[in-house]
Amino acid sequence: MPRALKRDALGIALRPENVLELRAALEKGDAGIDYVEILGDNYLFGQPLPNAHLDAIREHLPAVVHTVGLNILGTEPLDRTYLTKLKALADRVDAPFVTDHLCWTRTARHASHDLLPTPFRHDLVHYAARRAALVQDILERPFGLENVSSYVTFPESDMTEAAFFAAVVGEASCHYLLDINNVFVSSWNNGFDPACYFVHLEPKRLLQAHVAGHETGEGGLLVDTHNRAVCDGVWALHRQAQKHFGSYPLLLEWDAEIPSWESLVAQVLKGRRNADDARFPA
Amino acid sequence: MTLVSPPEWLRTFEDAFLGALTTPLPLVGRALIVPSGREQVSQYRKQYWFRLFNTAQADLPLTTAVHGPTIVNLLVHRIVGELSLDAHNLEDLWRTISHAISNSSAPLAALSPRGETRLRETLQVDFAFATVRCAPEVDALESLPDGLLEDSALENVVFEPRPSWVLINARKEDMDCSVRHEPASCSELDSDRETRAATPWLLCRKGTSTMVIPLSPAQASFYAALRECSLGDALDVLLTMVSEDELAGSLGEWLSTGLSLGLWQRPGSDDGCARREIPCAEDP
Repeated sequence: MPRALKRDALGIALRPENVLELRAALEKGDAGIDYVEILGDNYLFGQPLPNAHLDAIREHLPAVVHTVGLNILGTEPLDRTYLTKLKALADRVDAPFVTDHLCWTRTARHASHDLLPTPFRHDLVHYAARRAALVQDILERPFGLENVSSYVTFPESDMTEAAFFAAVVGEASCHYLLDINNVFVSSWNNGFDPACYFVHLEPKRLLQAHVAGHETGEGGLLVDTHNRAVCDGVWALHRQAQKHFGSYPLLLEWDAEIPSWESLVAQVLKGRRNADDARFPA
Repeated sequence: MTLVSPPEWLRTFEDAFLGALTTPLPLVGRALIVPSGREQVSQYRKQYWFRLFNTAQADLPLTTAVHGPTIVNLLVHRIVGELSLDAHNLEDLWRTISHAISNSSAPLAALSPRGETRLRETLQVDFAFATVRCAPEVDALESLPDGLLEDSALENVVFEPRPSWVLINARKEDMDCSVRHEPASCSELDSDRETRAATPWLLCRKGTSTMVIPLSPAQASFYAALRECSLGDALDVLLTMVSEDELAGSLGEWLSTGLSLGLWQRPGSDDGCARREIPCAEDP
């Protein structure tokens, strides 16, 4: 049975740029965090170097698996080979859970390598939920869907994003990976109130939350770049989320222009201070 | 558990969305116009093309270092823009570019004639490194059969090449730059500057790294001939370049080197070499 994360666990997304620093910190006795999240797609095909590092890290820290390849909202059949390898990876690292995104990434003709949105429609819920439920069955462990950042709204939508997210996860009996930065970015870009997002989501289904940095692009669009510190607005939204959900495992994503390990740890520790604040409201 | 079919509109929606974001960016002179503002899918379109450009620059490091990222971006923009969606992908973008270039003698990037020549030279080096890096893994021939060179059926001995090595004629400074991964030194290789002549090199994968070995013209010709011909025919090719005495002095070493580098695959026969007659490629 995979070891569960404690409810207020703090983690950092493992990237090639920070793996050696993490290993050095572990050899000194304290990495400053409770778990790591690996991008499963970097390990699925037996890549020797990443897997060697992962095995060493796993002796000290639990790892959860996050992927980008399941294409839950795509029209192509689920990739059974990919799922088999993902199950094997999750078993090998004893992952408490696996997560991917509520989005599509490719069609039969072409892979975009991006996390793309769809309209939020009632007639899409059942399709998405069946696929998510099947993934969870195959993985034999909790499976979480992550809300993606969005730069467009569609007139064809007949639901809000949060309602769609809740409906798919509820019907699938799977779980949420709540990306708080993505709620912040999407709410800004698409003009909805982020504070109203969480009330749709059942607290018992929350596996984990992500925080990350973003940039302001042309025309004032917020872009989910994961290349800087988490802004005050996202931390404030995290505090609001904790009032609804209670404590939850938190993870810092930083994918580009990655600072030192010490800086990453200092960033994610803000999440725990925020939790303390939530327990003692002003 | 049985899955349900997607709503009909979803397929149409996704095809249209993907078509929109893969639409080539407008080109004004040499400037690619990045979509801006809040028009539908503009951010996704920008991300898609920037991902293509970044992937191409990573796949073509020498070309990027020598000619600059703008030339690489223009090359990708032109080649990918002419392809259908199912004719290219990010996983092996370099292969798409290589195929497109090999099928066309048209100017690549509106450079001077010397610039075009240098562009094709640096691309060939990048393609060679990528070929080795991305080649499938095949079991290597582990030993040469005893008495190979005295075998009266020598002309029927064929060494099947493993896919993880290539021969290339290239300038030493280009190979040094590719190996050292030092963009600053590569940028000194000015497109129009006179450089040393190209010489033969063997690129060969060993574990997770690529070995880069300078060869004499004769040794390179020998390995090239062995790709196409039996050992006997390859020796005939070699004798047009070196004397019998020189051949006698080098052949054993070259075969031994090829074996230690894992140039040939194990076909499953008892002695490790396939024994069959094949026609040799015509002499140029």
